[in-house]
Amino acid sequence: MSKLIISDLLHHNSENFAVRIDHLEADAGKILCLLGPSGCGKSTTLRLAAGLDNPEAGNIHINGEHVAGDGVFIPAEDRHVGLVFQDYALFPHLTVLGNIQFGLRKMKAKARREIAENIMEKLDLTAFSDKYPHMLSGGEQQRVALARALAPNPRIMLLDEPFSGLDVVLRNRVRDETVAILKETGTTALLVTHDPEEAMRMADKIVLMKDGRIEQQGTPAELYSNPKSEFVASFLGDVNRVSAFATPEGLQSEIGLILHENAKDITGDCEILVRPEAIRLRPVNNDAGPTGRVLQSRNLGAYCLVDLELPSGRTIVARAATILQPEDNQICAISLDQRQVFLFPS
Amino acid sequence: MAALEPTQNLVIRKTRSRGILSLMGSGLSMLVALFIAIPILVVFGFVFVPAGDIWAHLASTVLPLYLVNTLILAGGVAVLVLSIGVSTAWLVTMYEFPGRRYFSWALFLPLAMPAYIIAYTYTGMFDFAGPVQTYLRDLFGWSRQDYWFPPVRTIGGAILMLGLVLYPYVYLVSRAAFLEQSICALEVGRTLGRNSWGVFREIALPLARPAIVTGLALALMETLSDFGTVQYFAVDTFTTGIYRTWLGLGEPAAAAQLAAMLMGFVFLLVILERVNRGARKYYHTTGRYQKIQRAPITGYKAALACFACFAPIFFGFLLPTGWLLNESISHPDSFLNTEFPKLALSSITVAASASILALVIAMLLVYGNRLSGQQSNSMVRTICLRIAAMGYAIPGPVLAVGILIPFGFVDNAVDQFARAQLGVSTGLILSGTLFALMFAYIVRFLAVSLNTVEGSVEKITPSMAQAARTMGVTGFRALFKVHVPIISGSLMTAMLLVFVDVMKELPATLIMRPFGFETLAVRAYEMASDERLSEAAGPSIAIVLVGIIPVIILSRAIGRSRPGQKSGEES
Repeated sequence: MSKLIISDLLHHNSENFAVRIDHLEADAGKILCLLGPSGCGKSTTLRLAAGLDNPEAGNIHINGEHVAGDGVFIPAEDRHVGLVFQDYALFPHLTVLGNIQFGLRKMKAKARREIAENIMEKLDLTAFSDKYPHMLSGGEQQRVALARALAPNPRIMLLDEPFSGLDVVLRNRVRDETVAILKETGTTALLVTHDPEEAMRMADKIVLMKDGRIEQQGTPAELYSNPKSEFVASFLGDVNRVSAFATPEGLQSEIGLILHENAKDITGDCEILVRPEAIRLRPVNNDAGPTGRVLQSRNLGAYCLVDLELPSGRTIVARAATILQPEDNQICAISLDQRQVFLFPS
Repeated sequence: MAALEPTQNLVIRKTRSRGILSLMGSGLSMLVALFIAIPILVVFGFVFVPAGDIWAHLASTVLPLYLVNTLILAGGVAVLVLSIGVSTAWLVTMYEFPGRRYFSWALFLPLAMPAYIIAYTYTGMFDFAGPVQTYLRDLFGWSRQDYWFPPVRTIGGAILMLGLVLYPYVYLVSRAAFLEQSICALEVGRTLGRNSWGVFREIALPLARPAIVTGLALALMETLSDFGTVQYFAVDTFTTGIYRTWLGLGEPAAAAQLAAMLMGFVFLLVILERVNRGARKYYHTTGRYQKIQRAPITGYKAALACFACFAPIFFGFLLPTGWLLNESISHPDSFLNTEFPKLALSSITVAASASILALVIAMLLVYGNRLSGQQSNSMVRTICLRIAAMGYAIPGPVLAVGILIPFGFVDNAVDQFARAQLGVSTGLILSGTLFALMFAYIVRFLAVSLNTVEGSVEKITPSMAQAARTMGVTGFRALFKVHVPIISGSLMTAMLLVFVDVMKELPATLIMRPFGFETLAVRAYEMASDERLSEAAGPSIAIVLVGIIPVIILSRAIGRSRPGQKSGEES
């Protein structure tokens, strides 16, 4: 079942930047990530879903209810959605309990208290009940913001870059906690982020946006291994660009023969994209395969990054297991994992 | 070792000279603070001096009246300034409607109108003999007993007059607070089920509360210290009571005790707010600012918003200024006379001297404090700074009492000593001189220049000074190359603000001026008191016109104050 459906949407934001979304669906209980560089329209989309802005054209449905479009507009206060901002936007004049109870209006005091206590226990906030937001750490504030948004049992949870205010160490922990609580409560979530790692770590489905349009949507694995455009491939991970030219056997490049399904359409020169981990290095044997000279290699713990100079002078980066780290100036033979080589029609 | 010596010497000399400088600095600021604290200390000191029968007399006759009138006045003004100031600030910050841009600065204009002047104008316009009632009588053929017209010169009239000119204090601070608020918090409030009214009431208003209370406190201090309006409307408050007890009954001790009670009110206001605030902090928990998206309003709602913003500007500024202009043009003799240039000159002279003096003292205090930031006695200096800034909270008549009592004491002592030892009478050396008047201005308005200078000097971070130092720019050269260019704009502002405040000041000038010394404010008051309202128009319009200058400065400064918003975008 789809919780949120956005269709044929057109909207200009305050900077007169147009956002066009043909179709976007968030499935019940899943986490959908809106991913993209800053200024791609992902926050605008979130605001439209929240009911903070009214779209110029198109329709939005939440839980099957028509909430925007064709003359209908249900404003944010009646939409029953939860919202968590990057800066949490906690109410500094209310305690943690007051913040969490803020959205629980039309019920008896006892019921409000019960719901708030329940959610505080789930998020490990009970001890902070009477504290004011400024007395809490960043991670704690983030949990309060999440609890406040979850308390009224929203139909969908909207999160706008909710982890970017946290330091790196805390961020990963809070991400996992957030995923856990969203899954536990069965909440459907729409998460906006510019960080591909965050999107891949958290999302059930990623919607990658660019210039106000959806570039590609799918599972994290699909987007990473099967990008539909150069932009998608390079946004989700590092890529090397290598030039190649068409031959009867396939595309010939400095790093070997490319057997790509799109290769048959190519005549003349082209450029291929290769993920660093697709480039495998081994000591040179006598065979006449492609080679590269190691300029330098950096050990990053579990793996190492190797800068290679190809015979043409072009440099590429390969990723190798640490135990296979080559020495500087060593000449290595190169072989390719063909599944991680991308070729896009120009 | 020998090679090292000169450097070591230099270091020692430097530290020593810094030490002496800072010692001088701290001594100076303590001295200034002590000097400025004299009137306050005197007033509170008199609480313990038995005033004898007069106190019992006051308590059984006029005191309850003073108390009730003062409370009604303060309460009424509070309601009026809050409702006008907060609502207009919210409208111009959060909504888009025709004329909003103009309203956002024009709402400051009534700040240029001293309360006593608007009181004369409204009396002139709406009294029995004024144009409005005359017109109504002519139109309907009424005579005196035939109709009822709201009387101007009542406590209700005083509340209206003070409210109309004091609401900008609340408008100013609430607008600044609303501009600074996190839009995200308001938007989260929306998703948690609040409509725009709910968001205003439950989030924006509580967050702006400390700022609003500050503005309210300023407005109430002005109300409590108002003398011209209540005296003219014959409403007996503490302020007029102090004046009368002092000059009419010749009872300085009782006057000082009344003054102490009045100041007690002021401090109570401040303390109440602090207690009420408790552990809550009103910092926004964010450093991120989103551009405010003003929601457009149209139709009758837009008309209502326009009216809500236009009415205070019209009644607080346009109408009285128009009437004053009209009166001065139809009675050109009210300023085209031989005395007017003299009045203007003496007003400008005292205002200019006081503003320069206040600026110099403020700079000495601020730089004295900065020089020895890390010294152990910095607590003392901070307290000194705060004391020096306290004068703004002291009503003019109270200040006059607090200055004239010790000055009179010194005069008498010197005179007695001279007569006993030298056989000559020295007369009054301090009281009734320009020196005493200037002292009063400094005590009252030092806070204005102090806050402005402090605010701008804070913009010069220690790292800037250190950066200059690494480039070999230190001492006085640093002052002129780094500090002056950065703060010069603010120094001008500080001077102008004090200048205008002194031009407008009435009660302290009235009580403390040297015999025969008149300013524009004093002349306007005297003419109005003699019911020669049209002759008061000339001096009044001059004061109002000068008063517009700081209004412009303020409205510009606040437009630039929102973080993350460029100056051009919002004004």
